[in-house]
Amino acid sequence: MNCGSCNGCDIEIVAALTPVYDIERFGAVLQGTPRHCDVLLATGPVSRQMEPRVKRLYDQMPDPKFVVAVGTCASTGGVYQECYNTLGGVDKAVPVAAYIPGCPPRPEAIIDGVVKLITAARQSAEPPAEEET
Amino acid sequence: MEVKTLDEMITKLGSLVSVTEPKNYPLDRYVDVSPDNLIPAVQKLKEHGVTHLSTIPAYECDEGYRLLYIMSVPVKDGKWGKMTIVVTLDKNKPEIESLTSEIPGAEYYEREVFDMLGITFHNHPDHRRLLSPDIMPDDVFPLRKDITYQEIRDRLAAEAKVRYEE
Amino acid sequence: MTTEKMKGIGPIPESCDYSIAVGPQHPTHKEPMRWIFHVKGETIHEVDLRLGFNHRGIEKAFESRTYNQNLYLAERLCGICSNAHQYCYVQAAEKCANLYDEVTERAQFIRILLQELERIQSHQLWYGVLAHDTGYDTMFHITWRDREIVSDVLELISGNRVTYSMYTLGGVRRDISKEQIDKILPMVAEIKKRSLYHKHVLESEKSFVVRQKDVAPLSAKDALRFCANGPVVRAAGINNDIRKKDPPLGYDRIPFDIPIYNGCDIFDAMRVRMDETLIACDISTYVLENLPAGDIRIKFPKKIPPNEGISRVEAPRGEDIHYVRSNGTNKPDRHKIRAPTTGNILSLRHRLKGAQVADIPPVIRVIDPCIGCCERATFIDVKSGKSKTLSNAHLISRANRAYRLKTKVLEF
Repeated sequence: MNCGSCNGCDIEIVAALTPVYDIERFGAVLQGTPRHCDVLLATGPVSRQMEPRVKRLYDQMPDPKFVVAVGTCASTGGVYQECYNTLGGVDKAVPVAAYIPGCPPRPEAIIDGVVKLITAARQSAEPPAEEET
Repeated sequence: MEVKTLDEMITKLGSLVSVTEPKNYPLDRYVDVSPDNLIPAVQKLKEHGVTHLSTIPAYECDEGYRLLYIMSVPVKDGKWGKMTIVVTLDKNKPEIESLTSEIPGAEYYEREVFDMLGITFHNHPDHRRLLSPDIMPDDVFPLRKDITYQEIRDRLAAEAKVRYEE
Repeated sequence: MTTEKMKGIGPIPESCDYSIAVGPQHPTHKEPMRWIFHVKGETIHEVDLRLGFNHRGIEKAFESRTYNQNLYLAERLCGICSNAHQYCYVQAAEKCANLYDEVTERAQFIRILLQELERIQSHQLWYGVLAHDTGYDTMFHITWRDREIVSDVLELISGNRVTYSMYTLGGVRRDISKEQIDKILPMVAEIKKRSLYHKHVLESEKSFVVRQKDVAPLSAKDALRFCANGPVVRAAGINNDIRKKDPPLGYDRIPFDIPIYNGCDIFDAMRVRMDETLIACDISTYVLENLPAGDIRIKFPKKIPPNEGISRVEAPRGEDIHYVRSNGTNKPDRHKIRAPTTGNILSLRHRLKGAQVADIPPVIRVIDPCIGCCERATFIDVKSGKSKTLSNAHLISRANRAYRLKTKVLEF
């Protein structure tokens, strides 16, 4: 979910779906609705206009759920420190389980982060996760 | 009818405009126009094949609010010169006639100027903010010099607390 | 909610946001505009939209940073055309400092090379997503796989796949060595070969073409009235390419053509972009083979005397224009950016009136919206006043179904 980002991280997430990097071989599948997924990939420093929508989306996901902040902007606000319309990171709006830094992070880094999260979740005896972006 | 250079276009505009100091680049010219002469100047430009308005930057300076209308004038060799019409508005009276009657494409640019600086455009078809979030207070215009980004941020945070907690 | 309430008055109030905020099929196009369509049956009567989801307040932030720091903020206005924004900004700042003409030829050519490589990367992204929007997923995967080649070239030159940061005030930051040129030339030849294949497939595949031919045309007169820019105007028969009309330094010395078509519809806009990809490959090859010797940057002052500068660049999406005003300090007084998509929205709204609902995804895609497109679209039946909100995914699958069943009338 793009929470006001420049689209750089979003392109790298889509590139992670393409045959060259292919995140689907790890069991992660793109879903069209929050009601069917476990992991939310969020990019961008959350803009004020997006803030209620992020919160609503998070509420609609069924438990157990994880939010992954992809990119430096989603982690800490990134380069938009003096911008008045941003919250400064996804964790200011919803709780975040994993951070993938980078501007933008390479598709390999995104896959690495998601796989680490899924492995950690599996190790705490959670069912395998399906992913939504 | 086409003109060969931007300076020729300025000569044709005659008394509607007054030239500011010529900049160094042959495809860039800036002309000062009073707010009442804006529409006649644009009409004159349209007679010479000018149709494209690129954007309307606006800023606040000591003399008031300044709007720049960046128009593309076809000149020789198939090139487009940038004729920038500079209009200065009084700080206490930030109003001007909308350009949408002559150039419909100006609609969004004028909305953005209103959103950022609070300048009112008369006879605009859809006079509301363009980019600011729903919770932006009506008296805050972000690009004015009398407010800093921290203040805007604090006011938005206060509004968000009130609106989203109910 | 009645049609009167929603009829384009005021921003969409929170209470009207019925839609579940569903992620569309791919993350590139999220939440930027919130569309409201007033429909009668399957025909659209009125269109309204809400912008501002991506508004971060960057223009205010520009004023509190130095010119050098702003290089990196300018890049991150948009990830897909990051290069164009940086290019435009450095030119405008150089005009303020009166150093625009002093930039060395080698730096000019390297700047052009990067801009053309970005054009290839952006257009391949675009027509892949267009194929996906019209149900042609195979080509989406093929084009995005082939796009990795140009990403590799960019990474070889600049070190990053997306935000290259190659430009600096007064020139470029990195040079290109002879070894790199020898490695890149065959890669560019491969890109051209694969782009020709994409062109052949996408222009001849009947089920794909029928979604675009004669759909929602934008006449030349309307394109000029609404001050549209970019490939959609070139698909209407008008040459508005900034590389010929108001060229940045260096373009005058490179031989290339501008593709112009007269169909005014989505198909010709696609053909314009496909041809531009091939021409960009040719320009890149020419630049690499004829790179002049010399320095890559000149000395640039920290403080710029009071002046103003406007610069334009042909970004992949259209005309990108920046205005910089300096005031004698090391921070700009005002930096105004007009991204190409903002100039195209009015003409898009005009195009959508009278179009069918099934045609909405490709029509919105044709302007290559940088802030994305219908994440959520609300449909209001003009007769009954009832409304329904669909996500982008639903909209696309509904449109695909309509064309497969060869009917344009479907129940909501």
